[in-house]
Amino acid sequence: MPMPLVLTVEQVATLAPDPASLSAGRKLAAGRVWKHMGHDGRALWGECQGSALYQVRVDLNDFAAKCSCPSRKFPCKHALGLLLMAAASPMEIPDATAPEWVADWLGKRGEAAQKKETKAEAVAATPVDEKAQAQRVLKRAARVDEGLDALDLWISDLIRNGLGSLADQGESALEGQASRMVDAQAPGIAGRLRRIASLPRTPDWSQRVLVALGDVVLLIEAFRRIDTLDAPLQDDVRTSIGWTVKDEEVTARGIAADDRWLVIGQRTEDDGRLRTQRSWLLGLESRRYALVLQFAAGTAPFSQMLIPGTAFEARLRYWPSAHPSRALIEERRGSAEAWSGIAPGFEHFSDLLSAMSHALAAQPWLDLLPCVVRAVRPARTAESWHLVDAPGRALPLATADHWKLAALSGGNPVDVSGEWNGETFLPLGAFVGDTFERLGV
Amino acid sequence: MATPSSAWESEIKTLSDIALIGTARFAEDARAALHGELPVDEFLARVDVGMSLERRVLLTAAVRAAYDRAGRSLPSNVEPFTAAPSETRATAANPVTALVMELITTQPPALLREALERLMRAELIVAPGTLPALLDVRDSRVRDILPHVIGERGRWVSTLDERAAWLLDVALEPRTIWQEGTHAQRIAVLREQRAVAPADARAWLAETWAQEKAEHRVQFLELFGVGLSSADASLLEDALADRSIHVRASAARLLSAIADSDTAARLSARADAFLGYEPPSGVLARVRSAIGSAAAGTLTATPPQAFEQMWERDGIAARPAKGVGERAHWLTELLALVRPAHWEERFGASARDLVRAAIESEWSQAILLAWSRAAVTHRSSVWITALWDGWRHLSLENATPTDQALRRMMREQLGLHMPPDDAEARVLEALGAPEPEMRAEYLALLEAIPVPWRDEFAHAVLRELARATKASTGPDQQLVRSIWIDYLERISPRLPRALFDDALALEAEMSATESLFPAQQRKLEQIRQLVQLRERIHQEIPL
Repeated sequence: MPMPLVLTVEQVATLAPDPASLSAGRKLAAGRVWKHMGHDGRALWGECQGSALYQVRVDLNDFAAKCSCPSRKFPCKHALGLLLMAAASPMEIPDATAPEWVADWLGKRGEAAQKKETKAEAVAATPVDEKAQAQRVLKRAARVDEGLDALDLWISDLIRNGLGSLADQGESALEGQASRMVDAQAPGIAGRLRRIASLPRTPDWSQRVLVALGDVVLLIEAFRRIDTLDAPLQDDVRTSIGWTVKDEEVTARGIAADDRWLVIGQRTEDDGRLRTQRSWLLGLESRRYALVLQFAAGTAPFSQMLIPGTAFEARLRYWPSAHPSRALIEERRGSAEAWSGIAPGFEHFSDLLSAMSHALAAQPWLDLLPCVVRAVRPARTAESWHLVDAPGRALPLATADHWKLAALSGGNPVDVSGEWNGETFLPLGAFVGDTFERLGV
Repeated sequence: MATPSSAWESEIKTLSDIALIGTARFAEDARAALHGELPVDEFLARVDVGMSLERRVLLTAAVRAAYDRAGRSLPSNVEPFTAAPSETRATAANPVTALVMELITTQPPALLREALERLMRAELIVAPGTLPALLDVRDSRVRDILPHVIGERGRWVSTLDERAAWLLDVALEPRTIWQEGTHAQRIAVLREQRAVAPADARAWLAETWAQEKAEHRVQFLELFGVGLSSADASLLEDALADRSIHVRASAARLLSAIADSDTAARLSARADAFLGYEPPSGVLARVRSAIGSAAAGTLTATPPQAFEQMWERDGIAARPAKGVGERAHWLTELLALVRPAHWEERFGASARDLVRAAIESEWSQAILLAWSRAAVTHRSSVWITALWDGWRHLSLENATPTDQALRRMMREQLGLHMPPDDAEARVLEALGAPEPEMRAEYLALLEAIPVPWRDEFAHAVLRELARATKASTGPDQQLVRSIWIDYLERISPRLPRALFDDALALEAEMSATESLFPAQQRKLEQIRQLVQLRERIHQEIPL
């Protein structure tokens, strides 16, 4: 039987909901607290002697874990301990038949997944009450219209009287407008206004503010003419305004993509109440990209375990868009494996820029293009870092500490994955030899 | 075709400058700024002319920015880093790399040191991804080993990253460092030079002597304590004429350690005046001697009545520190400059006998203090052990807090330099004692025993500790337990691998005791993790 886990200890560490859980997990990654451990290729299990005897089971397909302890953190420290042990000392975990309490759990999971799928299919199949839906849409559109008109006037006033006034008491004024936008059911616009409020006072601040406000006005303009736009772009406008599309609708209207998907990068933002995880997936056959966004409150788990550097077979479903980018994982097939190989990517930066122009031409509000750039070397000038491609062009990197990338490359060409925003590139991972190394936070 | 970036920059800047003040005041300029040279401007011109000026400014800015994002061109004059030389050693495997990353953030740094030392001995280097984190570690003993395990890649990174510049100092020409480095670097390089080419070290110091600060002169001189020889006498004699008393004291002390130097002879001769000894006499003494139990002779000290000006030349201060009598102070200072073996020769008695005699003499503390300092300077093992034992027997009656502090300090100092065999015996003795007294001094002895410990000794220590733990009963058992836990904490990083299981068993027993304080429980948990981590280190990095 193959080794129970093809993940490294570092990759398991990324599953931890917070650093305290990780160190608690490490303390439990010792043979003497575990009894009756085993694996059967599908699942991994064991019993941990803590203040009571806890039963831990892990589904190796997607690393979902269940422990009988009362902790509300997922995965709990016991599950992390078991996974860390399996990653560090696979020999300690024998081949065995799954006991009842493991098999039962796997069975129930299968049922639940089945139910979810049937429900989604049912939703997709039900004829939508088109008239009722159309009415709802009209009502909402009216509220948004009102709100956007007001904002439009406010922004024009700002330009007439001068952005200088924003420099003094801008934050509260913008925050006020943002709240109004939330009330007008345009949270996407509210978000943009808040981001403008938090722009740092760099020498080019007024340019950035003008462009950002211009983008908002462009969006308002697009919304007013939405009926003249192609259907996919209409979806993008609505998404940018901030209208959410339910998963069921995505399943019904979005494009499906079956492939072997490699997780090439991941970033998690934490604003104290909500954690947002952005994972970039690359289809190894199709070379398509997908962004999987996950949200979790506090220390709750993300529903999908996505580990950078692993690949898995799955069907993804894209949000309707003129340049499909965001997707959900509709169906996972088989287990995720640590991946070693060559990731498809751009050989020259000119190809990346070209891809960016095509993407922006299709969807002007696109902010990020994920990619892999091949055979690049890091460089550093007095002011900033760059990557240099084979023909010798330099791509500016986002302001951050890039010494790990430099150390991994050693001045030799490496493949790097990351996000390009039209101005700077943020590295998220490097492919060195046949291993994937995570970069950034 | 003009590159969009530069055209954008100037056109957007113009627009934003106007927007900053407001189109109300710069309507004309705003209208003018809307006309541009870019292809996208052609498109913009076709946009609804009924729109307000403000909206046109905003939309123009947005569209031009989108154009720029879509069509940015990249510079081609940025030089990438040149490639690092290839490695000559194998890189540690993945599990080791994960372990090293874990150890960087684990306390104490001793664990990371141990892992890196094993890597060094196994002739392995760390994985490149760990370099930035490792180069950031501040612990000086980790930094000492790092150059040996970071490989060519590590040295390459440190030439580029200023935060790792400290590493390069090791690689630079020693002479250059001596001439241009920071004080800490110069101390390090002089110490190294002293070990390989003492004559050069002398020459370097002589060159810059006059320009060095007084406290630096003292520190540099102290380095001559290693590998001291008669060749150093001349430089040290010159230092006796220094204007700083501390420099002179240091020079005198070192000269006293050069057996055949004139100064040593002078210092001994001078001290002879103040110390006399009568061997034990009488029937009782002869009987005791016959059965191997010697009695102490009589040591008579006559400290000077007045301070002599010329003693200042040897760095002796006229006025003592607070809490110390003048005569006691002068006696100590004069005796401290004498090689202990001199007294053995002069009085025909052993170190042990003389220490015992000193304890019973009138000026016991002053003499013991002097001999302790001299024993450390001269590295006289027999005296160090005898004095360490002797201090213990010194009566604590009439001892002021200063006295007590002094004694503790001297015992710790002596403990650090004790011969390992003697230290081992005393540690076991301390563990076997009914009360765990003078804890700090016994723990200091642990530093004198080289790591890793001998299996036999480690086994004996754990056995004694286990026995002592079981025997801890009575009203103050909580306090006593804390002491044993402290011992286990100090011992755990030093045990050889063969004893890890025994240590964990002992920790488990200690943890199972009832009514432990939370702080005690935490400490025991930390001890357990430390031993488990050491086990992993030994497993992952076999030698």
